[in-house]
Amino acid sequence: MSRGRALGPEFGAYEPGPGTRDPGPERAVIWKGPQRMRAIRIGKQSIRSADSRVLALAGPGSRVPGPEFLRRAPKLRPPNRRVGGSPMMPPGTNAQAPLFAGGRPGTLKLVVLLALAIMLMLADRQRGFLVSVRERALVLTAPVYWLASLPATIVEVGELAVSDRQALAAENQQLREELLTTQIELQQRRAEGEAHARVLALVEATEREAVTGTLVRIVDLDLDPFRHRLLLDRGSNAGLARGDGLIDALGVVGQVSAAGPNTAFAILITDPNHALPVEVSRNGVKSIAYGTGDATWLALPNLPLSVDLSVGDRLLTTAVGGRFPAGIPVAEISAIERPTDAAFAIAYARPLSALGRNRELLAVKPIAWLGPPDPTASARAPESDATPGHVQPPPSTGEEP
Amino acid sequence: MRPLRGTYRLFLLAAAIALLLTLVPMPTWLAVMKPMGLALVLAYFALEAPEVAGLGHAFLLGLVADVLYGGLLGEHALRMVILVFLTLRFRHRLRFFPIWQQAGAVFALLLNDRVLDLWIRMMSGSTWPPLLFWLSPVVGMAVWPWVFLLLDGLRLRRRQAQRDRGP
Repeated sequence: MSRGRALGPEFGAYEPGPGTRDPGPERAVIWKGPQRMRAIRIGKQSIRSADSRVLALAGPGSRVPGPEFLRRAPKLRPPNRRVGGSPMMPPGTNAQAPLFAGGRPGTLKLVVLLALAIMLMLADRQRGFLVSVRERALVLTAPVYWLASLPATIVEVGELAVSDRQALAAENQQLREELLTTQIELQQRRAEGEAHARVLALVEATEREAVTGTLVRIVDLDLDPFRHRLLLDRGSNAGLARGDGLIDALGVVGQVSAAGPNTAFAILITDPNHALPVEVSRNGVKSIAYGTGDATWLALPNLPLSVDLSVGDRLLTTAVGGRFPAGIPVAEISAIERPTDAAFAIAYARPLSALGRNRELLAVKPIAWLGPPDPTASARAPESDATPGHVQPPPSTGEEP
Repeated sequence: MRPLRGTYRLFLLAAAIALLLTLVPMPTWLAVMKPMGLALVLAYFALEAPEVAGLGHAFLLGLVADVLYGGLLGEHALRMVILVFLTLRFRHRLRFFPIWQQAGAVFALLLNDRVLDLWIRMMSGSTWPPLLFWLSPVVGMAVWPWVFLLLDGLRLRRRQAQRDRGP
């Protein structure tokens, strides 16, 4: 027992226990008398193969472990006392640690840990309490993200500091011009919207929500290049909550999947776990766009073979699902497959938004879910509350109904 | 337990740095070939100091990675436990390999890790990833000798310093 430990785990001293597999002659022979020379030769060989650990063991005095080295070994370790100063026992090794700690890893431990991990994954898939666990953990991990994004932040600040005044002025000028044209366009749209609202009020159609939200920035971090997730710099303190939609200037980006106090995780529409109800802008055909795990396309499976859809059609959000305001661009149809041997057609669509490549996003609250029309309510439709006063033009102040 | 502390601290420090470095933003072309830093650190310590890098530690560090990277909770934990188990299993052979051969073995370990990753992705409904997905183990293999020499140097220097200080 003690003889084997004297050399420490570094030398590979061997101690047969019940059910132990013989690790081979190299190590087993160290303590067997007649074969001792062989062990030494192997020791030298490992020195020659540049194994500095054996040299470190032998200590600065003896460059090569000789026979005395082995013979003296058991005596050098007084029982139950540390031998830090002895050349035999470098302080880095631990006499009390089990000899092959981890050398023969416990299969039971492996099985238990694997089962635990798989259980965790299944629990996480079910989106139960683990999401709130994750949201709590975001409190702890926020400093880590800050630390990891520090280099990028420094670069950005540095670029800003050294950037040319003239370049900034030019950029400012350009942005002003863009703002002006956009504002003019917006005024026109507002007028159109009001006219549209009056028409809608005449036909008693549903009201439309104005888009308002919180501006959030994407934290520049590599979570996983093959995953479709983002980290945001705002959390529940800024009003973000799980399920909030994220849009950029070009279209829908994704949704908030977990919101901590000051950071939040978001899932992109291209993530395979994401599905989004959409409608075709041209004719109002409704479908669901699924993420595929590929950033360049969404899939719309299970379409009727006769579906009126063509390449280039734009997909917009609908109020179905209640997560996004209706009418925000999502994707553009890039291909349609109508297999002759299947019951359904599949369409593929290219996302229109920059999908997190631009740094600012707008987080929009889920809209009030209206639900399917109540059959009893439709009976007294004439005196329903869709009066002109309730109808809001699209770019209004956006109060909750 | 005191003599272990130096190595243990180095282990935790190296793991923390590996986790952080993985998060640091890079251009996309560089990001896709980023090696799995935590796996390399765990493999090194399982090879050279198995008394600090057991299966339990692999599990816990994997969980930390899951929380940090926002993936499926338990995914990295599973992958790291399997990686450390395999490393410990073949430890006695791997330790006496010349370093290029060891790098080959590490490539096999990382490839296995990638396959597990793919399996978990497929389970959660992802499509087949792009070909670049398989580049990371190759880079990991190329980086291994340097990681190994760096960590080995740090660890032995720590031990040397401790020995000079006396018991």
